[in-house]
Amino acid sequence: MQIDTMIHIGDWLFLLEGAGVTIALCLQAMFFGILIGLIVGVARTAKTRVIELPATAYITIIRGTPLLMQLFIIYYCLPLFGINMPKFLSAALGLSFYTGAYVGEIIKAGLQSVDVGQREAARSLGMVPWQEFRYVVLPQALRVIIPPTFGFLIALVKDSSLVSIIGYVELTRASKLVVARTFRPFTLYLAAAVLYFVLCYGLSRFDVKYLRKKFSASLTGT
Amino acid sequence: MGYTIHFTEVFPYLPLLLKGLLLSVAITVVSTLIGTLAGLFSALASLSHYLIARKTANTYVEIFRNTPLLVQMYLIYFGLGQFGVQINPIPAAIIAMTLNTGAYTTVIFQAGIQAVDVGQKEGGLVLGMTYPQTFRHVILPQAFRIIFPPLVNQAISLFLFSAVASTITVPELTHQAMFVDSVTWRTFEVFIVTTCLYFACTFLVSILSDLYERTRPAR
Repeated sequence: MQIDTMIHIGDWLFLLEGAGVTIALCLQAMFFGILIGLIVGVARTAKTRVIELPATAYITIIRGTPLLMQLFIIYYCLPLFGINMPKFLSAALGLSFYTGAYVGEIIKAGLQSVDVGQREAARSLGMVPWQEFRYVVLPQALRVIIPPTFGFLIALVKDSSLVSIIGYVELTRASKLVVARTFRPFTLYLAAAVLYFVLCYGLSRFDVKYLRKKFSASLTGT
Repeated sequence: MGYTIHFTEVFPYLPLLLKGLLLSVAITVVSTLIGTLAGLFSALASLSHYLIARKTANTYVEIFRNTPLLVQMYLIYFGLGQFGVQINPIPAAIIAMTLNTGAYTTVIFQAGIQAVDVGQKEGGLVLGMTYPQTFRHVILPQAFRIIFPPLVNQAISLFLFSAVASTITVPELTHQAMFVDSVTWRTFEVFIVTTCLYFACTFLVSILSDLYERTRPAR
């Protein structure tokens, strides 16, 4: 094996920059995904079918089709209908819709985990539906919602590598670009894998060491 | 804008797309079968008394669960080329998908095996069964009830992510869709039809697994 003198320090910095883009992309997708998920998740628990059905359809379709196809449709098909947007927006939009469906399902499960007696008690105390949701249901549901949502964020970091296929330069695309010039595929994809590993493993350690402890404590503490 | 939708132009290519779908299903089924078996043994190793077995299994799981399938495929297909090892696209995709799903199923099996009450294991051993017999006849059947739904979910998820095999030129559904797009220029129609094909498969599998869970005898 040749030692990789071909790869300059600038190339390594380029990879790190790609990792930064991946983080930024995931944070944006997570932010908008949680907003979408909140709407869809609450709609999923609605008793009115007109509200519940579109939300269920949305979640079922997104979770039943490949993320790659969703990205292709947003990136290649929307411009056909006159909707042009920069690559970053296509990537962020695709990942946000994707996140929204998964987080929506988590939120729905969290809301349903709150005992119906809690809602009834809130009502009998004279709370209006908004107060009931804000002060009684949501605080209890959040304990169930936060751990799996964080788990999804870890999955999202890996899944975000798919936006490299529509040409958006994040970590995977950055390593691919350097490979094209240096012909060192193993070294560079391994470096990309190590960076992904550091991100995901770090997040999962945080999850195990801090998040779960905190949430299991709050479950028994009240 | 002047884009009119013509689904009819895609229809002549439907057999080609179905051929791609068949390959998508095939690589997923092969990877799932081998990967699940690997996951079972890796879970046993991770729960064993041997430190080396535990460490090896846990390292395998952490490495493959914390890196993207896409990068794993690139490493196997393009990366090994750096050492003069050239693997064909389909085997490369299957190797990557098998190793990937093996790591995820390890965690599923671990949780399932640990969920079975320890008294069941002790009961089996007390009756004079060896550990492998206890595992095979007492623990695994009970664990299977718990892990069936997550195993099906993992298989569906692997099927959806098999689309990334198109990037290493495996002629599966997504790859065929890109080809049909390049000859017909009906981008929207091709991708909608392709998405529907993927959806039909995952929907069918989730309905079948629900039916199976509902009809199988209770404990």
